[in-house]
Amino acid sequence: MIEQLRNTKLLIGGSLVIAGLLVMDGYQTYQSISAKTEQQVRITVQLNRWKAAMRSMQPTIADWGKNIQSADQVKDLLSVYRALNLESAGLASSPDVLLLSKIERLTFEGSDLHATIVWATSAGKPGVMVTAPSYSQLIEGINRLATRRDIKLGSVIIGSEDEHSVPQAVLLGLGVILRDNK
Amino acid sequence: MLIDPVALNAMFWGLVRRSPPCWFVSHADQVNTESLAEHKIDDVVLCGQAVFAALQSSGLMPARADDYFEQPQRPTQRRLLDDKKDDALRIWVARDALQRLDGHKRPLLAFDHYLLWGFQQRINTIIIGGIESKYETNLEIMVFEQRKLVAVEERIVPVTSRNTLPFASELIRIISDEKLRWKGFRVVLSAPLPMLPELADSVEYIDQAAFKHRVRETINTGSLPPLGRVLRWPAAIAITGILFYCAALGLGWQQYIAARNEYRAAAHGEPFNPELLSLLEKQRHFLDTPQPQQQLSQRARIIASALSSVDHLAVKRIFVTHQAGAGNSTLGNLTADANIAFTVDIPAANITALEQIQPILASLSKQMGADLRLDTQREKSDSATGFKSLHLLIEGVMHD
Repeated sequence: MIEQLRNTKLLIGGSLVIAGLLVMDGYQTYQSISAKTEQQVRITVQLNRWKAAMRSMQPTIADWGKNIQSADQVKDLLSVYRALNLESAGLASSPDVLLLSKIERLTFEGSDLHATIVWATSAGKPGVMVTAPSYSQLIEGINRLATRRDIKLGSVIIGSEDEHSVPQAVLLGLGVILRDNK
Repeated sequence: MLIDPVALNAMFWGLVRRSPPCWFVSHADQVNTESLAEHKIDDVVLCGQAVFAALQSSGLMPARADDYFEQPQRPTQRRLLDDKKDDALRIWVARDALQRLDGHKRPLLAFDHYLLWGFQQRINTIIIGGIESKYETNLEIMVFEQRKLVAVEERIVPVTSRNTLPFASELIRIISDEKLRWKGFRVVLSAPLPMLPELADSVEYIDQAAFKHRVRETINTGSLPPLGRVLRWPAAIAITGILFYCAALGLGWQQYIAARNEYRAAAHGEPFNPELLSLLEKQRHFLDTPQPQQQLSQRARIIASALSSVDHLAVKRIFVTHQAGAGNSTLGNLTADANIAFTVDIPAANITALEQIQPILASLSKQMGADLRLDTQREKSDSATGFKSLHLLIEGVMHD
């Protein structure tokens, strides 16, 4: 009987120890799950914030798509010429003499904008030669071209040493920006 | 000792509950359906043949130990800290009596009541308890010295109180024996033994005093309940621990699942890509940033318009750039900061070229809002007409 009593004390002691361990372990487990939960909540908040920001960025996505042509339509020289689309600015030129001088990534303030610049030039010229019916139309055409977001234009030489030539200009540092395919 | 645990115990039980009548059972045969129904509310108190008790130091055991369940040992004195256990009261209870009661009543023991009463006596006392059966009487004699149980004796006398005189003389003999052995001790007679007028000179009768309060001690009935009782508290404690653990786990998990579901609901659609956002921000910024190339045509216009105001001047080429120092080899070697340049022909006057050009440059600078300088000049003459003219390359810096 004494054995049994001692066992009872032992059992109670043992069960207290076990219960204590369980409580401690349960608390710790709860803590670690809580940390995970908090992390999850933080991520969710971040994600929701990001989604809201993304929603506010929808106009940008639209503008980018509207202003910058996609690179996957540009596969050869002729398509580069079409992408430059000088005619829309009222400037005439020949696709036959067009050359690619360089292709590089478009960076802005040190970041890659997920786009390429294709730099163009004309054979035997420092830049791309364009003509127009009159000088005022030529300048107007250059103005229209320069305001396009997908066009890079470094310098312009208007006119020619030859008095009898048609109104012409050489566009130096002319490039067209093409956005990457998603 | 400041607090008397016995008094405390008695006070507690006395306050909490008044003892119901006692039903003294000394033999299993007393327990049957009718007697159980009759003593429905009574406390069963086991005594007589149903119980065997001996001090541990005496080494006594019931003759047929298998017929008994041994009970938890009772201390021989009451102390708050029962550390100096020199002896103990061992109690055995008959199996058959316990088995008959099992499931109906939880028995009490007469010994436990005598013990408690004995502990309460400030003077040395001998209690003679016991019970009568048909032909004989069980006597349980317990000796308390300085509130400590020092001797236990069980005696069976083959007479009962129905035979008054033999019973009285037997008791008187026993009492005088005890008095001789334990000098100066008070001797009391307790229920359920009856009092006889013949004994009045020898013994003090305490009647039911020892049974005034219920004394419930652990009883091992040998069946499953003791194990259950033994495990009750450990199990409760362990289950509390397990419940806490499960609750903590469950709660934590539930919170986590809720957070995860919220995330899943939020994550529906485009995959999370923080870089995409910063890329879009930069693209936005790029689209919103005015391009310096937009000034080119405006500058060309200003230059052309200014040049047209000069008489006899033939404009050949106009160079505008927003990248000073780049691509300047076309017209000639321009200085690094020049962002405009042009070539013109002008008829040569009869003064030196510089004298002729100086006022023109000044006027043009003013009109264009630019700092102009003559870069190169070359005189050429038409071979057919002999007409002399100056070919000039002028460069400058135009400000916004």
